[in-house]
Amino acid sequence: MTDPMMTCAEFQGLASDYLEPHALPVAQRAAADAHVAGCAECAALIADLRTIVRDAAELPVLAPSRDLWAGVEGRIEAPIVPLASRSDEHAIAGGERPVAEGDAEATGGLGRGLGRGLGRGLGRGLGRGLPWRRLAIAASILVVATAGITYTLARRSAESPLASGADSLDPAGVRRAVPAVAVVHATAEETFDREIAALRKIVEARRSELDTATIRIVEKNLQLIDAAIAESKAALARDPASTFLLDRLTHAYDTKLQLLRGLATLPART
Amino acid sequence: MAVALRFEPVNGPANRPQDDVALAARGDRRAFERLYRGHVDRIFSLCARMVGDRAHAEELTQDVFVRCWEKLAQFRGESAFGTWLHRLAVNVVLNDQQAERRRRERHDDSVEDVDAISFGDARPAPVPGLSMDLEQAIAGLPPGARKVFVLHDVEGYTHEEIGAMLGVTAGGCKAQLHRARMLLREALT
Repeated sequence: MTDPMMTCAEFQGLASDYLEPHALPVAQRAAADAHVAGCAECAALIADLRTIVRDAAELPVLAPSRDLWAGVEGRIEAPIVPLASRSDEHAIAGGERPVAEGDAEATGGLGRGLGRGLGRGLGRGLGRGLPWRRLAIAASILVVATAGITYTLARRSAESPLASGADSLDPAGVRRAVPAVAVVHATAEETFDREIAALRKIVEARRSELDTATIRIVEKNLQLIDAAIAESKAALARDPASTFLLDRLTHAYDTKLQLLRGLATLPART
Repeated sequence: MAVALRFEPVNGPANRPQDDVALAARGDRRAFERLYRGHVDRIFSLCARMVGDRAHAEELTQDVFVRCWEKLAQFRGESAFGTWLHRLAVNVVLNDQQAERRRRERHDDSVEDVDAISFGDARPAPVPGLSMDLEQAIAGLPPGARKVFVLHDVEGYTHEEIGAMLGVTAGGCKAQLHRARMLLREALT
């Protein structure tokens, strides 16, 4: 039913709906039309609101004050070239392989900022013509440093109040409850495992030239570390968001890698 | 393999956006950079207007693209990539605001509900000596009204879509939009 006596307050309460063609029932729209036709104040209001709506739809695209790509790139997971993919058994046996900057760069796992910088450092530091074995060990340090940083980022992310919320809603609006630590955990663990496997290959290739007593002691220590890693993994499986357990696991992996690196670079038995 | 990972300029042979989406989903960072270059301004615009703070919007824009990289494999192509990315950006901003509100609530029991509908003293703050333009006025809106205004009047989402994003009814969304428009009019006239 049309209400020819619509007041200004009533009209102003409907003003936004009045701007949309089908938001008001026919009778209410007719009453609003009648009111605005006779009320300069409400006609001005509608004109202003129409201008705001039109201008909002035509607002220009803004640009950030700086190039944000470097910040994005530094945070996205970089592809890692596994040492095993350098399928060169001859090299593992001690052959020579020239060092190119790109090779060293490829070993960098954390974005170009760190990866390229450290890669170049390695390239310069090791120079051309060094044994592939030493390069592989250096590369392992670089790649595993990346994994450690990945863990650190995961931990920071988990500690951040954003982490639980940011990951909780995907683009489809579906709520998810995956802790940030757990998401990154698997990738970093794969990196550690890959580097451990590469170092073990080197140790195996050198076994005959290393002191057997030393190897025995190191292997015994490695067993203890493996037990610690297994315990940490089992505990993390029960509590994937625990940064303390993640720290313990990272520390155990680091210790294992240090031992293996030490063994791989031991001077040959005299 | 090492050569393939070397940095190269992104302005090589032109790729179709859908090709870049597929390449980036398989881990091609250069393809992802092209996607970034093609969408960064629109995503930044959305973030800046939703939060009313350009410096924070730059951080959020980076968050959006990092999240995009992480989730790209889940993009099924059922909508345009830009639409998907836009929705992702909205979620990143909303989650950031929820996290910020939770943080403030933990530290200050007296924190007010920024989404509550109240005209009170919520008018956008004028800049002394300057006539306020629409951009400034939007930035000065209360957060709840600003979100709805930007999503509806600037970005073109429907009340139903916004209601689903914000967890409010379409009616609540309409009320916030009306409030925002009235506050903007007050600030601009």
